[in-house]
Amino acid sequence: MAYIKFKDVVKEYTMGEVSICALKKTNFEIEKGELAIIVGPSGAGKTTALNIIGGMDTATSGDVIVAGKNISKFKPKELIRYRREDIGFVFQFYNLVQNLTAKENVELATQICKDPLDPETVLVNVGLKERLKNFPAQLSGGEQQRVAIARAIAKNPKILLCDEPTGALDYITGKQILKLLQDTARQQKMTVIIITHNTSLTPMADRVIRFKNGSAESVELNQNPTPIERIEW
Amino acid sequence: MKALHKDSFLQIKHTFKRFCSILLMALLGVGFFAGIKATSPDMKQTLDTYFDDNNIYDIDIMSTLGFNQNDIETIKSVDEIDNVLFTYSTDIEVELKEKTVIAKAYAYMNQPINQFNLIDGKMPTEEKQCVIERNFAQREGIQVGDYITVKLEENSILKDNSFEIVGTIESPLYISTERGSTKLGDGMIDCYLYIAEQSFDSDVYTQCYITVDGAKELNTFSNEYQDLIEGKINLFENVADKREEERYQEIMDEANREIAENEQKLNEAKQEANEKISEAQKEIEEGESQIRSAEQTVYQNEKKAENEFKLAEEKILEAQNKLDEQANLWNSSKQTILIQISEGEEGINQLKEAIAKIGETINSIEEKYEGITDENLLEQKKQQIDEANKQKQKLEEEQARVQTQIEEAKKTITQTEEQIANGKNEIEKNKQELQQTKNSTYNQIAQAKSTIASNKNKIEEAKETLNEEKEKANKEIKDAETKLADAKKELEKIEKPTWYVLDRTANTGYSSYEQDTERISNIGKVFPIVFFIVATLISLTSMTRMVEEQRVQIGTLKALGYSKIQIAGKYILYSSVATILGAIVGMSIGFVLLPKTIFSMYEMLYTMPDIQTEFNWLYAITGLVIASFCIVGATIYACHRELKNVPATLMRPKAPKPGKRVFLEKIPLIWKHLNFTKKVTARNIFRYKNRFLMTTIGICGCTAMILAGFGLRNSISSIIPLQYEEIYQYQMMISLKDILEEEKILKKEEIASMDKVKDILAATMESGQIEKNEEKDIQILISQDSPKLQEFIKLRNIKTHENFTLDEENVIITEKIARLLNIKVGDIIKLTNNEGKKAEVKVGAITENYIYHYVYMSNNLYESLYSTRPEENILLIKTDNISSQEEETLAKKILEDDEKIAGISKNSDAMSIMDDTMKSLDSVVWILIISAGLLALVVLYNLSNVNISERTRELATIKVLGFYDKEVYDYVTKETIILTIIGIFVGLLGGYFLNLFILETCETDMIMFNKIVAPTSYIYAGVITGVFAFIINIMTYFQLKKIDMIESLKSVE
Repeated sequence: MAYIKFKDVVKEYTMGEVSICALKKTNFEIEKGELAIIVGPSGAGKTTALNIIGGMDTATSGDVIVAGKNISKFKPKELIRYRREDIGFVFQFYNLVQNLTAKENVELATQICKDPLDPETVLVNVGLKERLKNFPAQLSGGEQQRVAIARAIAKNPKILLCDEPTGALDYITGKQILKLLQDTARQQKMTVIIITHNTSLTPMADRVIRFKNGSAESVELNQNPTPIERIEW
Repeated sequence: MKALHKDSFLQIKHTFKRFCSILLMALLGVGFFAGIKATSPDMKQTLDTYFDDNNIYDIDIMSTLGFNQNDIETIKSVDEIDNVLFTYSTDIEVELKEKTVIAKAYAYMNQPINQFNLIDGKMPTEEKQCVIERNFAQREGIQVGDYITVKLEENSILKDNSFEIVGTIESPLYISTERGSTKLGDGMIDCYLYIAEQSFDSDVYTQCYITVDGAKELNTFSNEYQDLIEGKINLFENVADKREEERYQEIMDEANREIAENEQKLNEAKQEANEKISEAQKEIEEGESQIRSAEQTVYQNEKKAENEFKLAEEKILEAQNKLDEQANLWNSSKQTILIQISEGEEGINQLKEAIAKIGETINSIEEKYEGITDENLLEQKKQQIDEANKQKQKLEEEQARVQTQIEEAKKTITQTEEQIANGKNEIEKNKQELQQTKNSTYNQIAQAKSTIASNKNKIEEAKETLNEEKEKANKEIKDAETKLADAKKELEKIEKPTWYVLDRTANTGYSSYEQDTERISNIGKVFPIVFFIVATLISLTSMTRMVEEQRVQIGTLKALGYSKIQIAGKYILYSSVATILGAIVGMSIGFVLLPKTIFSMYEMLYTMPDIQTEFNWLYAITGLVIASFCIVGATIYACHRELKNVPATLMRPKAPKPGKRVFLEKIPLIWKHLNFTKKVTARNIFRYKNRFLMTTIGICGCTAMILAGFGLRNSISSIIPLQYEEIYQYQMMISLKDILEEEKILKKEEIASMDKVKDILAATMESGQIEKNEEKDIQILISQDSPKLQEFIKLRNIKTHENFTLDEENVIITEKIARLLNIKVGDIIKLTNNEGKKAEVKVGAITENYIYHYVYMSNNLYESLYSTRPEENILLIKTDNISSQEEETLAKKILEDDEKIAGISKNSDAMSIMDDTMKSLDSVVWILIISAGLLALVVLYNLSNVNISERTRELATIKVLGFYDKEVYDYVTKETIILTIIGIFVGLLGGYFLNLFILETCETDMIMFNKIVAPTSYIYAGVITGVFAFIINIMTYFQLKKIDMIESLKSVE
């Protein structure tokens, strides 16, 4: 059975009298240790899907099975525990706590985990050895995103979710970040899901899920993912 | 522009909570400001109306000698006075059922000025009627229809001593509980009453009340009024100076004239007396000579009578003798006659025998011639018989002649004897007559004599009386002479009359009321500042946040070509609407609620009509302007900060405020030991300085106000046990009537021996004045037994509790009066006793005391100061530990002897009265707690809102990181809690000082507050603030729960 499974997942938002259907009976699966990329145009429902996988949002109907558990049936508290223990999240805008240093931002995540990695090691691993004690404002965008990734990884999560991790970054920095993510997935056998609207990135993934109009239109498996260095866009 | 306006109102709808918080701040700020500011004017207005409605005097003039006709005319001739009332007033001792009280009695004379409210019954229009103040009547259970008896002093101006109470009243002259002092009894007036003027009898009026033209239209507390009255007072003071002089002259003239008159009268009286005496003497002399002549007359008459009687007696004797002679003569001639008679009778008998023999001869002739018919013989016979008959006839004739002779002799005897008897009778009669005459004459003489004797007595008596009269007259004259001499001496002593021209501030109730209103307006100067500062800070943070949130929109508008003002207009409109709405609601509530609530506390102290609240435009507008300045000003400032940027900058997300190391990190010792969350908290606290400041100020203000509220209560309520249980060790004070020394000692011993009485001390209590630069009323307590006094009244240093003793040179005064007059130990003060004598004395110590002012001194000192011995008039009693019921029984028992006991006052009663007053303070505490609580709630709520909205992204992120709700809550509120704690501690400190300030402004002259704040109050203040903070935190918890994690994905605005 797949590690992550979306089965007829529907997500509706009610905005006053208008009801918007963000996900319409979406079905897809992702296997453990895969680097999955979800691509699609804006408003296709990819972020909603990611949010549901990440336990930040709940499906209106359908089942979301993660590691054999139907998280769509989780109670709020179980969802928090799930986020806390199983999920690492990398935001488009890093969402670092401005008032905390790089290391502290990582610690903010690790302090609540059962089995975290050492924040400093993780930061060194992501190439921020010299920046441990810097505040986000003193870091470049790429460095900030690295801190964000370090924060996500340091939790030692089962799934790493990245919502447009390069969206706010320039090409080179973006590439470095993606490499970091790819390497992490490879080295730590972590299931990584990246959302992007940049289709040229798809070769780097083990699995590409294409979204359109609120549902997963297609799922492609990439037997030999291309290392990010070799991808140009 | 229309679209912008619309946007502005839509904004209100969308950010309704924020709008509300600004509105609420405006409401609180303006409401509190307007309410507290208006309280003092409202209270003043209320009193002004009360005074105006009752035509209360503007100027009160008193003269030590009263006002005579000349005074009246002079006063009435002063220009621009509206009305004048000359009336009588006097202090009297009134005997109630159980005690004697001192009352101020005024004459009721239809009262064109100083009217009062009749609560019950009717006005005292007839002689022997009076009306009494309602509160006192209620307290003493006096009913309309009861009678009161007045102990009339010598030369009292009242002529009746029993009055019917026909009504109860409330007079604006007595709004406070203070009734003034007097020289009677214990020196404190207990109540006031109005007695019908008919019951007064005085040549002069004692009091003059004046209303001034145009004064009624002015508020009595306004400067215009004071200026007007001051001008008039100057005028009357001139009149006073003039009249004092003139009146003095009048009195002197009058006195001189009276003396002269008296002298003349005396002389006249002397003369008259002398005349009378001499007249009386003459009368006596005349009487005596009359008696003498009467005596002589009587004597002469007696003699004459005696002579006459002698003559008469002699005559009678003569007559008797003659008669006796005649009788003797007669007796002899009677014998002869009797013999002759008997001879005659013998002759008769013989004749009878002869006749008989002739008869027998005849018979024998007849017998011899019986039968003889011979004529011769017959002739013989006849001859013989004739012869015999002739003889017989002859004899018979003889017999008849003798018989006649006898008869005659007998007749002669009878006649003579009759004559003699008559003579005898005559003599007897004469004798008797003489005796009678004698008797009556002697009676008359005796009577005359006794009359003379009684007249003599009378004269003696008259003489005696005359002597007495003489003595009396002499004495009287001497008395009159000494009096006259005294009067002449007195004349030298006559002092110039003094006029006192007073305005309303001399009325205790009025002036203490004014002070109280000043106090409130003082409070009104401080508290609203707290509110406005907080309001400014709140709206600054709120509006800054709002403007920041809408940076992009602002940028866009700016880019579209709207001017700064147009753009800012939206926010200004937003905050203006909030401010104006809040202000209007706030002032509507504040103008009514605060004056009413505050006044309701003062109702305990003042007898007045309900407060009139009005919409005070001045404070309404001031409040609105200040609030607008604070809130709209803050808005403009916030807008300005953003608007100065160019549109491009505005449309870019605002660079997040960089994180900074805090100073704590430089102290590794501490920093290393902090766990991660604590480090974060510490950083956050120092990062958001605004919030740090606001929270601290808000919480600090809240805590301070609550603490001040409790502190106020502590400070005031703690003086009750301090005064009545610690300072006063006695439980009852008995005032004695003016009785003999020995009786007092007996009474003291009697009470001392009563059950439950532990100890007793006699002392002297007088009311007097203390003066050092300024004069104040004070109670003087004089005791001769200093160590024992210490057992009844603790005289001690307030701080060190070192005991003081009374010595022969120094007095001890109480703390508050020392502070009021700025008296230090060692200072010389002037002390006036209740007889008005002044003396200078050194202050030896200042003793702890909280209620009223006292000066303590020893008997010897008093004697050396005033050269009179203090008369003991009170007994202080310490009882065993007894229940209030037992105490009541004891008091009743003591009071039974109303001959000697004037009254009794129990400390327990005083305590319970004070306790009632304390209850009114609870409402102050509640006002403070509620407004402080509201303040805290608004501040915390607002801050927490700002905090959350500012950090939504961060919070959403940590939620995504998997923080449990509780952890998110901790993450945020840890700061708030720490800030709250800091705020509470600062607030507790600030509250201590705020409390001091309030006490300083609230303290009345008569009372010293014990400036303490009980430890429990610190706890209460902290806990209450904590509870408010906790309530807000709970709200925060739910707000945090509502934060959508999706927020974390949004781009930075």
